[in-house]
Amino acid sequence: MSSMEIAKSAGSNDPAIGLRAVASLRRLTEQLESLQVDRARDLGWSWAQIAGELSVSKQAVHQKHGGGHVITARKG
Amino acid sequence: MFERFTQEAKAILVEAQDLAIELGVGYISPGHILYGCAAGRESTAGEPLRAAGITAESIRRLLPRAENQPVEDVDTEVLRAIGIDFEGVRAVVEETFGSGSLKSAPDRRAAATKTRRPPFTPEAKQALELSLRVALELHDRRIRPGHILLGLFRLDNDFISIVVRQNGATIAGLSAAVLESVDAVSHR
Repeated sequence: MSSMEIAKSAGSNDPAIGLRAVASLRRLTEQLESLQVDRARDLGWSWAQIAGELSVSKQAVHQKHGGGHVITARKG
Repeated sequence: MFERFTQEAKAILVEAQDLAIELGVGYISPGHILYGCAAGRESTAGEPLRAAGITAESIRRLLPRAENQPVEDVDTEVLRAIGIDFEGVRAVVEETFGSGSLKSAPDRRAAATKTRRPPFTPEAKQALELSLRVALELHDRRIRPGHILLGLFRLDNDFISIVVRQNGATIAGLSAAVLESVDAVSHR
């Protein structure tokens, strides 16, 4: 049974669907965060500014996005 | 603690630390330090190890890697089930970031929790203390890579023994080679 079928038959009142949706949403959120943070940096934003908009500490955002991780190929 | 370490000896600890970070484990063990010894190009630890067929790469392969939580792709169907239009999000994102940008965007949760400076395990600390003792016994005021290696050998650590034996060498034989090269360097 595909997740499509599960979603259709069980609906969002099924905890399994709800939980999986949360996991997917988290993943999506993380990806959006990486894109937005990298772009803000490219546009000259400071870590403090980025942290402010994300409502996290400057240290947290810098440690997470500040390097050391594999830089994804994104040219231009 | 590290004042007595030569630059080359410090470089070994940096290599060990970098490997621990790369493997995603939150500590520096004797195995990571052994890797650092093998990764160096100098004569007192790196050369004797390589001469015995013990390369940094062969050590790295034996060291555990943190189980990276399998990052699953976004399940668009379950998102739809809770009212989120993934395709809509993707379309908006790609307007700004380009085609395929969302799919290839990294998930940096692991980077967020990764410690920058993993601590030495008690055994690794003990190895470093033993390296100081070895240096003192050899009347050397500096701690050199060879002393670190001899400190590791004195630990009686299973991982170190396995690596050495796997390559057909012995701790005793290697120690002799290291002592010789340390002697050549420290009394130059």
